[in-house]
Amino acid sequence: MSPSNRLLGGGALARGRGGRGARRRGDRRVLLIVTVGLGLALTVRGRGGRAETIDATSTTLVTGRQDPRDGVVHTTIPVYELVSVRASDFHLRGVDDLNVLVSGWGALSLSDPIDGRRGLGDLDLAFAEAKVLRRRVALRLGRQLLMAGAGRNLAFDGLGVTVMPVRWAGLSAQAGVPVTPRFAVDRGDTLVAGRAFVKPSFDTEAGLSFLQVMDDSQVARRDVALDARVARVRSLPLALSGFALVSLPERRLAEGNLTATWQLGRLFEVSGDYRRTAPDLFLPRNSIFSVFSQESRDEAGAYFYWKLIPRLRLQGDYHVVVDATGTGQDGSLKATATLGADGRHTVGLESRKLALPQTGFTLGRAFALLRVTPRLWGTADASAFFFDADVNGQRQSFVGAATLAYDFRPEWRALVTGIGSVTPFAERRFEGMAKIVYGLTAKVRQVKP
Amino acid sequence: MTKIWLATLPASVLLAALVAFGPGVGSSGCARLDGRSGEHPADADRLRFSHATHARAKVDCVACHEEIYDAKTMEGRRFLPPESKCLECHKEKKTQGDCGFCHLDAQHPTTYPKVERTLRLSHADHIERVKENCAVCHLKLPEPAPAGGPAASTVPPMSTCTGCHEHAVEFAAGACSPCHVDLRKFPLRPVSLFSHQGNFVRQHGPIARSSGEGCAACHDQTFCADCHARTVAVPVEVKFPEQVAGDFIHRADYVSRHAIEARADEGMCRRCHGPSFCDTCHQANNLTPLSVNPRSPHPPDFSFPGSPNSHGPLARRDIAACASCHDQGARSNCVDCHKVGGVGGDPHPPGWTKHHPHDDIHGNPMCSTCHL
Repeated sequence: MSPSNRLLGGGALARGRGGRGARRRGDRRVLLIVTVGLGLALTVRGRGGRAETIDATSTTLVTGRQDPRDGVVHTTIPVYELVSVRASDFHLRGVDDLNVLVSGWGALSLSDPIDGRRGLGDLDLAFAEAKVLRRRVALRLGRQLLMAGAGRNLAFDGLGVTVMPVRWAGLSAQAGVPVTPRFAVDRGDTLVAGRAFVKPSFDTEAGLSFLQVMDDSQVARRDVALDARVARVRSLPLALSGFALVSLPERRLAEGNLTATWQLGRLFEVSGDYRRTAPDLFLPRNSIFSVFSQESRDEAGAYFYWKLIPRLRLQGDYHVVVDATGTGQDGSLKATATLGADGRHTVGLESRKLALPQTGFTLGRAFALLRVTPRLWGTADASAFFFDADVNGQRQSFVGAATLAYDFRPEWRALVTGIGSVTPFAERRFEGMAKIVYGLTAKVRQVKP
Repeated sequence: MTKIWLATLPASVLLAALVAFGPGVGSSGCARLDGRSGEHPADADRLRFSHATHARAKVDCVACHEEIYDAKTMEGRRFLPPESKCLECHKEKKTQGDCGFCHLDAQHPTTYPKVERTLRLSHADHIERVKENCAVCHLKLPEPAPAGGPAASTVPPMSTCTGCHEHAVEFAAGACSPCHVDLRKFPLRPVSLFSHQGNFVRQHGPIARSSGEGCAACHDQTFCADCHARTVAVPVEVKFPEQVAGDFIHRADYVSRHAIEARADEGMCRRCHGPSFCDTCHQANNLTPLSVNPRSPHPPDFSFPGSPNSHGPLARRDIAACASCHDQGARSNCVDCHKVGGVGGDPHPPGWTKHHPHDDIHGNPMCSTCHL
């Protein structure tokens, strides 16, 4: 889906899904605005506590492309502004590591608006976090990501608390409202999650976690998960990790994997893994489609990474995929080499073959990064896909891209990108993009003697 | 999500923060630190000082650094001796107006640049252990006297800390926060034990799932959000077109192959993309019943049970794909045929009643859609 299509499609979805989603979004905005306001208040007017460091990153993106939709080619020109601000170095009695972080974006369509919409935006993250009680209790309030355990990288607006009474064990708990992903309808009113974990060393950890999402008083998700990772087995550089997530309403394994990785320093790494998923358990339990299926999918294979010589890296993987339709195979190989003085240039080749019982494709790709001067550099990227079955009546797809970048000042980067493609859905298409990135770290106060 | 005022919120937040802090910078009257590097501006005043000279004069450390001997923390305080301490011995220089004796830029004298406290350290505890010999940790003391330049740094290297047994244990455990204030704001190059070897992009998922606290020691959530945020403006491949060597999932012509990828691993799509994500684009392309001018993407015999392309086996195997377009709750088109008494028959998979007692029908609105 193109960025422009996303830009305008979001509005169409919001319109089509009616009032309930709109009301919830309104409620959540209030929560979010309160949180951000609290954070800003702390930042600007904190009593005796005022941030001394502001880290900010700003990225401006202008893209233009031809976007074919239902046989008509639309020209879309969205402008994006992505901003991330982090205020830190507060000094408050009894509070440690207080940070306020806001990361969000805004977009404006310079082409014809669809359905009267020209602009939109959202917050990816917006939270204030701090540690209290000698850093044994960590608090985070606002829009945040839930990474560990059953959370499966879920975004929510709310409060997260982590308590570590001892250094080797702790308990975390979260409560709030799930964030509605872009281009999706909300599937949850409340979220409650928790994880008990032991962490005897940096690279060994195990946890038991729980997650429940309620939607209109019905259970959308109620999962328990067990995760574990051991990075050294009897002083061998062997890492073992496992994860199992069980849906309590269905009493079935929704997702499980086991991975063993053997790593020989920076030169060589090989891993074997097995994974089982039940695709229907990725649907909310209150979806009417959750009653149709109980199929599972298994995947097993191996992966390797080999730094053959200091300037040449190889990586590849092969997996067998088994589901109700039969057995498929997925394999890839990638070689990356650095050239020139100090390895300033990078070139690479990549190939992938995905063969499923009734469909699949083969990828061939070449890419290069050429550094003309330390500040001026460019990239080139060409991909070709060959499909096993017709995709919109076609069997091939070709995409080429080139980028010219210039780091014209410290912390500043400007680049332009051109992409040309011949695909099953567009006979010929060209898109261009300009980007400016600016990073800032400001020390805003100095202690007087 | 789609309100235009919200689009300007991030920029407003940035402006508000910068405006709020602007007066603070100006009104302090202090020489502002170089914002980029955190270093003192090259043209600003600095103090001439030599520990070696003072050591030769038999001046004990405690004579000047009395406060640090009893300090249990380094936060929120400064421990370098004030000017009055220097004047206890060098008062005549100031009386004579010889500001250049201490100040490199005597025309614009200032005090020490602020040193950001990056460690939590109790000097009081350490002083006893090293028997008041500061050079045990401050290995550079007394540093060679600089030729009229500013004082050189005497901060001990990290290896000095990890030389003690208890610190070695903390180091091995990756427990940074007892000593380091906050690692996330420093451009860290991971030391050997924590370096991200091999293809770490591929490994990072399982590691983050079970070791999130360890990741958070160095990485803000913005680092994760670059790729994993659910409210993204643009995909990461569009955001970073210059990173051609990266292993991005949706690179190049993903639209043409997305159905194949989804068939290979529906769960992978579902981890990031919630229900109805597909519907947004499919509606715009008139591929769903909710489109303005809908046309079916399915083969002609899709509705006929027993036909080669019948929807039943496909739905049983990959129901999430069906839900991506047809999940409209009670208005979903499967209800018409599969409801109780409909021509489609019982859609529940074998063993359904084992985990779902018949009484669920009365308590679950989703069930009552078909079980009238």
